[in-house]
Amino acid sequence: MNPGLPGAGIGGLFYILSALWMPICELWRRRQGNAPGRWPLVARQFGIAVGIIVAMSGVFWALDTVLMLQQVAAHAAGQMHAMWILRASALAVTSGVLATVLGTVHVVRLCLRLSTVRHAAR
Amino acid sequence: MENLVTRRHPSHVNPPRESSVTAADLVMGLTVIIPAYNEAEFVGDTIRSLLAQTVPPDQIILVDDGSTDGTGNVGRRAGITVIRPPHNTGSKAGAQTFALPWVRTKLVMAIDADTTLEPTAVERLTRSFEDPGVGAACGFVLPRRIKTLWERGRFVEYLFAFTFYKQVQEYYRRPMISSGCFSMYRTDLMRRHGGWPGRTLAEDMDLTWTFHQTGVGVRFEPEAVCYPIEPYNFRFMRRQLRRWSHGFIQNITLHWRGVLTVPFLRSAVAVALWDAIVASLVFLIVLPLLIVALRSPWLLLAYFIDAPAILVPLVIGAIPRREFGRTLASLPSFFVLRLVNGFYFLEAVWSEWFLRRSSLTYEKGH
Repeated sequence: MNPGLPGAGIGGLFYILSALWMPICELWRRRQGNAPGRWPLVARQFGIAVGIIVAMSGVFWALDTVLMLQQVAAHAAGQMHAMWILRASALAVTSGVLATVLGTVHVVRLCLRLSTVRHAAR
Repeated sequence: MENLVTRRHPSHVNPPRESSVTAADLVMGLTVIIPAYNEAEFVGDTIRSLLAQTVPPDQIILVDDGSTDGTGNVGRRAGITVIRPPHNTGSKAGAQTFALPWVRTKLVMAIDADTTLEPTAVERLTRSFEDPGVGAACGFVLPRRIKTLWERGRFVEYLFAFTFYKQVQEYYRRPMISSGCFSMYRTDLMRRHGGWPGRTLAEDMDLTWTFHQTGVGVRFEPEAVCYPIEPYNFRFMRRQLRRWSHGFIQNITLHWRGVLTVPFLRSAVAVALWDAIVASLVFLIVLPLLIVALRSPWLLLAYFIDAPAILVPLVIGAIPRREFGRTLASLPSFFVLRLVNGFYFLEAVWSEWFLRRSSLTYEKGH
């Protein structure tokens, strides 16, 4: 989350993906000859992103193993359903929503540009 | 290398003749503007921290914006320039803009009256301006006091954001905000923009997004650290959250067309808006309803499920500062702050976009 703005889902995923993209971006910039040599920053942020993925994988593994298999599944099917909601919303839905939000931004941008071009043509 | 902070000028008041001063007339160096309204308790620390910099500013201007607690006297005793508008300007942006005609140096820095700096902060921030394309630069922000629940929550929020999000934004050359509590600018650029805009409650975000849209570089320098006093009780925190939330919504309303033309920033802003709205709705409405409907207390875990993800950047940021224990102890406060923040964010969205009631009353809340 940015300071003063609440957040939990797609914001985190967006910055994780942006950080994972940084080494590729840096290699590309270097190939173009305009890389200012920011590998320490890239490595640090890439490491944080990987660390978050590992941490969240651990969380879901723990939820699956400890809660769902041993306790929830043994006592209440309803709670098992609840765990499924948690997992699904955290992974599939979040990824889909992020793609939709980013896609919508580009569609709106293209629509605006098209509208500007049409307006200028008149 | 262009040495931008070399000459030291005596602290004195020159009559403002803005219309006659061109960019060519500005001399190398740095002027610091401190906007202050009833900040006698804290502004002395701010001035001392500025004077103790490894590269001290050439001039420090304290804008005593109608204070009644002797704020101006603190500045006079410290030997810095003190100016006082004929009446309260109504906002931090107004006070800073009032001081701009007094600035004769090529760089100008704004710092809150309750903020102190690491001794090397000014020197490090100045380096960003070696690139002629850079017009604004900001540093790493951490609360000076970390005692109450609110200060602890804000500490976690800052440490996370400035260790991870802001550095990713910096890599893509698009910091979302050049924090108003401690930022440096090119003076001629600020004059061309008419100073700090007062049309929203978040003048720093307004200025940053304007710069991005006009191709002016904005940089984040993580080694330049500042320490503001953050809201220590609910009353102050509520004011700050309201101001920041309304400011964000106002800036989206004002800049959305322009922001769409700026790569990365457009994605970051869209994601931040979506995330803030959805997370607030989920935490305040959806989850409580689900917990009741499904009668599943396990769903309470959803409030904290991202704790390990938050902990990773926190640990990376806390270890070099030797604040690991304090960070861990402060983590629960962050979840409380996030919930409260969600309420005020939704209130701002409702008020600004649905009721069309734009809040422009600047409430001081640190």
